[in-house]
Amino acid sequence: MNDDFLHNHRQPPRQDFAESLRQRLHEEDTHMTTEVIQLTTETHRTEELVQRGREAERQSANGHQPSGRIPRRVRADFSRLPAGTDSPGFKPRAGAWLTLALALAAMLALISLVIIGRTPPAGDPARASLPPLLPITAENATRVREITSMGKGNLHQVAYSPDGSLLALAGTRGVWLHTTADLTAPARLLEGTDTSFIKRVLAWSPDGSLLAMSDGDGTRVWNPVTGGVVTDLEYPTQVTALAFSPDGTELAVGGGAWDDPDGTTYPVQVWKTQTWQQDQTPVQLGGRVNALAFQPGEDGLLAIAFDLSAEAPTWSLMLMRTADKTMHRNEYFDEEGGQDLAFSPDGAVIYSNQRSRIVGWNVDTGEQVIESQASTNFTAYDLSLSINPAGTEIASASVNGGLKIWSLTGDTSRFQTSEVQTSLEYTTSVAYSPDGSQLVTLEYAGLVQVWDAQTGDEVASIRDYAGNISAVKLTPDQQQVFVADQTGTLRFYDVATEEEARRFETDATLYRDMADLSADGSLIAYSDLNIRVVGTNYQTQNQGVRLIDTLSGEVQTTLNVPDGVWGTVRFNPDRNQLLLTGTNGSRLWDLTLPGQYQTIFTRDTTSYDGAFSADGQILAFSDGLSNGIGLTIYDLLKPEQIYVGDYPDVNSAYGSSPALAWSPDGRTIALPINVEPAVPGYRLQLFDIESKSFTSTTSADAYLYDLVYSPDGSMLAVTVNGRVTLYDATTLDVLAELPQSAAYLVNFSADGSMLLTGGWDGIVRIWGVTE
Amino acid sequence: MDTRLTSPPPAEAPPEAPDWDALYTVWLPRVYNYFRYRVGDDPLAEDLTATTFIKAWRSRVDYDPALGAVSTWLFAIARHVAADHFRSRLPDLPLVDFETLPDEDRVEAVVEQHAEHAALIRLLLALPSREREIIALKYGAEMTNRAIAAVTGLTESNVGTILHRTVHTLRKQWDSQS
Repeated sequence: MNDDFLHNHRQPPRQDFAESLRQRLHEEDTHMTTEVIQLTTETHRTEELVQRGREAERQSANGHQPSGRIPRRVRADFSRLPAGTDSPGFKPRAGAWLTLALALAAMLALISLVIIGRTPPAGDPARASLPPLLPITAENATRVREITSMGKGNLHQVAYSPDGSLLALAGTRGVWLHTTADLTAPARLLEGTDTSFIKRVLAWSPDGSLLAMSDGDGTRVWNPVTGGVVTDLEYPTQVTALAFSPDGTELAVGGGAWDDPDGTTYPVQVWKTQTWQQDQTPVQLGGRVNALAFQPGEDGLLAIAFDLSAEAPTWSLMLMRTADKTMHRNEYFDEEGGQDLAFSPDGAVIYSNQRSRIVGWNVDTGEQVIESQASTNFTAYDLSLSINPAGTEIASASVNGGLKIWSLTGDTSRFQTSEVQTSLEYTTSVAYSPDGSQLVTLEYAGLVQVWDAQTGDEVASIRDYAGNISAVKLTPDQQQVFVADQTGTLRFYDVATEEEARRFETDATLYRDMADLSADGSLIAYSDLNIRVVGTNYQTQNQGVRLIDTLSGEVQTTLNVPDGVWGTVRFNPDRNQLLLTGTNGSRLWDLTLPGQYQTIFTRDTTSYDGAFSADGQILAFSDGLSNGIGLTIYDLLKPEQIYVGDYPDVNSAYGSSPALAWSPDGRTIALPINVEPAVPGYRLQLFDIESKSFTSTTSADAYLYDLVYSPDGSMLAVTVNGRVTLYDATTLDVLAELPQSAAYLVNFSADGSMLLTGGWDGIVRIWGVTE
Repeated sequence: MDTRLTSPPPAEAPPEAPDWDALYTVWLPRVYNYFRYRVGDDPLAEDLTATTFIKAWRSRVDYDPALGAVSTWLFAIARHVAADHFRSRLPDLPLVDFETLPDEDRVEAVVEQHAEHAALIRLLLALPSREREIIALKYGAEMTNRAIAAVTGLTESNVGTILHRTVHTLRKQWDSQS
């Protein structure tokens, strides 16, 4: 890299500047001396902190986990106690002032405890890697920005390298490369330029020397051995399909977006991998490209599955010769092509899928030669196909339809569904290993599982990634973030380092808010729902609500509920009650006496959410009614129902109110009201407890998912269409809109300095205002 | 029901506290040049350097060697000082926008002092914020890619990639104008 022109412009700082700054720092030190003397009156406070620090160390040495128990701030302070020998201070250069600094060192360290003890949480040294944060208020709402993020993100596509030595996982952070010989070894990340939430697709060149992934509005190509970027290829919009030609000389790229207006066209680019130039003007298609596949052989025949219309997708499929862009059969594929493509190994048959039905056509004659049985699950939707190297089986991955293995032997006119080898549900990507012995699947966009293709046994799994985020909450000391995701993994991330600190793995399917951390950090609760597809049947298995002791990591107890009752779980503020709210009813348990947990409240109404008031005395439910949305409120002390009513102007079963939030003073409940179709279809609504009436409302542009009051009650943070909108809690005026982050969950830290979000991209973000 | 618990390995012993005098001697020129490459103005670079060291000195009790190298900590402060500077300069524009705007008046003043240096600064100021930041850390502060990765939160390979592309772009622009 010829960069001498950049090196040559450095210059040393002026000598007088350097000396004057040194002197200035000396004066700063003298200034601090004054503070030392003033603050020594709080020695008793210092001693208290020291004692607490020592106790923390003893507990830590005894194997106690600090989470939720010991404020890390105290431990961090304590670690600096012997600072008399290693405390900060300039060493002799000019001598005189330095002596003073050294003499003050021990005292400085001691009073640092006092200073930090008086410092608000934003100055906490345990957050040394974060900038100091101010409480988020209406006044500084426009200055809220992303401070840090945690998690490896979720995944969209899996693919083995041609030699089978590497497993590539394309996701929001980039491509993760795992060595198949040891899938537990740390993965290597090939980082993209864009972490926005868009579908990532990838393709290996046939010789394994190139790896391409969709990246922002374009494609990034790496050398997977060195990790170096080979090239970045531009595309007018999001890339959704990639394929290398069998000889590796061409890379086909297609794309599109769902929300483009009708009439938008999308090119199918064909790049020469030697020059990274396109030889010809690309073909323009009138719809989003879903998949590309080259026919095995050397004829350069490219299969393209695309939508004819972005508004009302009608899938089509065509075959094009890349040499001259001439069409080779496209008339018979209308309304049959789908989400993915696969050629038979001999190239004679092209398979594609739509609505959990796979169809194969003879490439030369255009005749349909084979068709699969359609899934009986209406919502099942095939996304990914993979054919084994022998050409005897096709694996299809399906949303709400799991993984299916279709045999291509026997009856030549219809696939024979083999016994489904796995019990997966939300499977979005599948790939055979190059030797056909294994099959890798991607479940809930975060769980990677490797299966023996013959026996159906799980060979290995990777749980380092996250699906949709299900819960996000800070631990009481604000040092860690509790995160649950749809794969059933419960994690704690260290805020300062962004690293995963602890992990609990469960078999549950955790939808939104189906896990919670108690306010004291001692317990995790989750609704243990398993969703499985066996054959063509869709099954749910409800195994109750599990409570995990966060210190031991053991399941402390299981709270049984009737089959079919599952949903969000929430601890009350005192951690002595637990609420399960959801499908077919709600349950409230008393957790006061360990081992003697009792149900103290039951409801049969289906609710979207339930929430305790800040004092834990009032319980509110947003109910899903057959003809609208209901609000029901109970006083738990009396106990009695104090309000029940329908939300006005909603007379549709299509209405939903997926969350509710109490103002900190307990006077107001905020609800998102979503009614489709209606105008305005999306509203933020306040309910006044004293007058028992709906009061202020404001409309929103899109579906409102989650909401929370700021701790001071001045603002409402609401997730709308993947971003957080901050509202004035009284006027409902919009104060600020945060950048798009695929967020649908939102929460505040107790001190109001951190706003947490989690969403579809499997990443947890912390937002704040820096000083 | 399968609930497994994994925990991280025990933390290593914390490293020694830094030698603050050596820190000042070594990092003053680097912080200063970081700002020169970042803001393109020598007097302003001095001001921001002074602000950085004063902030660092005042908050040195917060520095925890176990959380990262002293350079990472120091340049985290420097980056915030730079961000504060840009923010205060154009408060009405979002950061992402105004950081990419060249300050023409400032550039012109520098042009009079040193045409070649100003030419480089003009190129640097036209870079996107992230690229300019990494160039300043690399060539102003003379940091390694690994150290830059620690400061910026990017991966080392990503830093290398960005540097490679940015320098390549700058080189072409530099050659064409000269």
